[in-house]
Amino acid sequence: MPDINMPKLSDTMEEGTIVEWKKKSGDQVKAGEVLAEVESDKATFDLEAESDGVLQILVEQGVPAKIGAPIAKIGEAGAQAKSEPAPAKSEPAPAKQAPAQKGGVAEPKPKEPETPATMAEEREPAQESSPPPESPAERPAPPREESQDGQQQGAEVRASPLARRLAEEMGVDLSSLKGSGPDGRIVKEDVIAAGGTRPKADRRRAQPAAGQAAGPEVEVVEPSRMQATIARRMAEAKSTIPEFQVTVEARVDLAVSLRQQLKDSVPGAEKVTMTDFLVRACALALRKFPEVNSSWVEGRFQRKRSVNIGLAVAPSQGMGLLVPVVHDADIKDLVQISIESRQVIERARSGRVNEGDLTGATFSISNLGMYGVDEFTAIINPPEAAILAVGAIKDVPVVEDARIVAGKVMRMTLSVDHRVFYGATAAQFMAEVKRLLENPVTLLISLP
Amino acid sequence: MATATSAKAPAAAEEKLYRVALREALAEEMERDDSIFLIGEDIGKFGGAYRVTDGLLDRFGPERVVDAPIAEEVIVGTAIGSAMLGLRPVVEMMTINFSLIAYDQIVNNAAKIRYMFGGEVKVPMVIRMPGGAGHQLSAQHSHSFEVLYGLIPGLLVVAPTTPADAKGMLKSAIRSDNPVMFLESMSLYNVKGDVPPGDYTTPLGKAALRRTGSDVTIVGVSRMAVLANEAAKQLEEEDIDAEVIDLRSIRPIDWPPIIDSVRKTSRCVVVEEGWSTYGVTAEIAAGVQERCFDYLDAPIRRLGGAEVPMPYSMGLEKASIPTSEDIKRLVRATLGKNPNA
Repeated sequence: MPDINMPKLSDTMEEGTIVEWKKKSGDQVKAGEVLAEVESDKATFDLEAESDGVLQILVEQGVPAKIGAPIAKIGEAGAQAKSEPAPAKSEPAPAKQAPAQKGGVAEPKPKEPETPATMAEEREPAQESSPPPESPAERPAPPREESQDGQQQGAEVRASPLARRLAEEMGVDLSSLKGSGPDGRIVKEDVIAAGGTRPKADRRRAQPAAGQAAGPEVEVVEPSRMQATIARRMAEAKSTIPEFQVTVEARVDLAVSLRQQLKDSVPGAEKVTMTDFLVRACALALRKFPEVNSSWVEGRFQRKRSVNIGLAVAPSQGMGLLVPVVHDADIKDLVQISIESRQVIERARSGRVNEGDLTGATFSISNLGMYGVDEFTAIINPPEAAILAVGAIKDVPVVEDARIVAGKVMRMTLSVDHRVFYGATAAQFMAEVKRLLENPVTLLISLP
Repeated sequence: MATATSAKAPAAAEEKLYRVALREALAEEMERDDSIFLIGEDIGKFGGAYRVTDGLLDRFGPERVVDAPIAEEVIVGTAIGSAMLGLRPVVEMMTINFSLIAYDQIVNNAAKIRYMFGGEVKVPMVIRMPGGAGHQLSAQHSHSFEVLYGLIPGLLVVAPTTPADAKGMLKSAIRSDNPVMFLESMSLYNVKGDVPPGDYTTPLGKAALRRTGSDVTIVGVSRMAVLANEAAKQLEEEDIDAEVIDLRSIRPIDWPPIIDSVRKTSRCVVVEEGWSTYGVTAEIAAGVQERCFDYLDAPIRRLGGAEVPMPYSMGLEKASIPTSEDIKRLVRATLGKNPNA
């Protein structure tokens, strides 16, 4: 009976949520049929059946599942389809333990201790040394709440013994908490984090305050999975990366006119953008400065062989951020880059990503020029070492041969992880990007 | 840690090999008490398969350093009989694997005689034997049998992991009036460490806190305590603060330091080289659970060797013995982190 596991769709994805099951348990499904819509931290995608058979759903919609965790099975007709899924009770497939694996490592999902209170009543441990100070028998059985309205889901609360004890002492209702421990178990920290906010008497799930609907001063909005990920990753980047910025201004008159020529005369380049020029220029510069195309990982430099450029774009609707990736940008010409970047952005925005579309970037570009921004700084997307923030192309008076002439300039700011490379390299890298953009014919030739 | 019972001159500790520390303990004890004699295969002329008894035949003569025939049951039987009559034999089994031949003598006689004779006779005997894998000695000669002796009431079972403990605990074992299974590790004979000067003993039946930490308690058995310490050091870089306890005594188990530690860290990982199913780690995990249930923030995890007869192939053998990387993975998993971080 093949398992269907939560797939990994992006580098940062840790868990996914079934937005909607398109099929029910017991349905006969065919390979290739869409079973469900799954939301990751970056996108929503369709989950297709890989084989024919009868679907058995293991994870209900709305319940997050870790990458690789089984979310459904496809079996033969009549095999197991008779029973409705009971996710909390069915044991996490102990039979899968490989025979020759080293003892403890082979149990990624240890079983939650069975209601210890009953065991303790039956038999006190006949050990010579001290039992725990509080007799376990006195502790109430784990909360097993049945909600009055009958909508029962994931009946048993998974919490560590320590978390249960603390919850009891602090009057925290475990069923209202989301566990951060292994397998979603509620652990000590979850209880402590909740401890200050919940009154002892309130044993029920936290209800939205009655007055809230009537026009609260502050509206609390749940972030989407993507927004929560962005919040976490950006906070992590800003708090862990010692960064600095380098800004240059490039004359882009020639680049602008070359772009027009390409659009007018080269098949396939009809939609080439200034961002494509930047991708090409950065890719060539990255090849010249491999220390920029690097990461700082566990105290060492990681030099990347491929030059993969992430493009920060907004999703087609809602507030969010997507970073589709143009792979091997240093060995692709402008036309290829133009076509590919358009396709990958389109796929990312539609949520129908291919493998690799959102992963593997070694450098990123964020271009807010189309919004008229003069210049800005971007936050590095770890483990990348740098990100280029690009402003608008502006018509300005420039001094040329002691005369003032009209020119087009664009300001670019590189944010740099100082652990990976330093000021002089950043300056040289930016000088190279500037040189390439100012002499755009260099972007047309391919390197040996 | 080694507690020096006698303080002569405050001379500095000296770095010595584990095997040399053992040899010193034997020689010093034999000097002190002439009822002590050594018996085993190739321990005299050859100096011992692992060179622990090297030079002792010349120093103490063939009556006190007895080269025995290849007959383990006879060797242990001889030792038990002489111990009952007032001598203090120290047996060397060439490896723990061969002690199976003497298992009946050990389990049915050595461990029980003092009980069965109402305390009228005792068996002050030490059986030294190295165990462990990692030397391509294949399925029959690579056992970690701590648990086979740990099972038996009436025996004291210890496994020192440092030269200082090797010396201090062997002296305590020789001075004990009860049979002591003294489990050495083939892989530790060449390990160096500071050995305190002079005559000192290290108590049997006591675990040692090797390292303090706040996130997780790692309890290591025999050589795995050494690996646990290495793993803990490396985990520092990942901001994981692990406490390491060297079990040292397999029977009796020294619970108080383990309990104190787990109640502090709320998490526990137990590691042995032998099979963990029904193993020492199973016993520790069960005992910790009984004593610390309301303090646990994660399931207790165990790590043992692969549950197969030890392969001869070097690669397969390596894959079958727990490594510090394996320990790190298990610790990370216990902390809810990515095991392969």
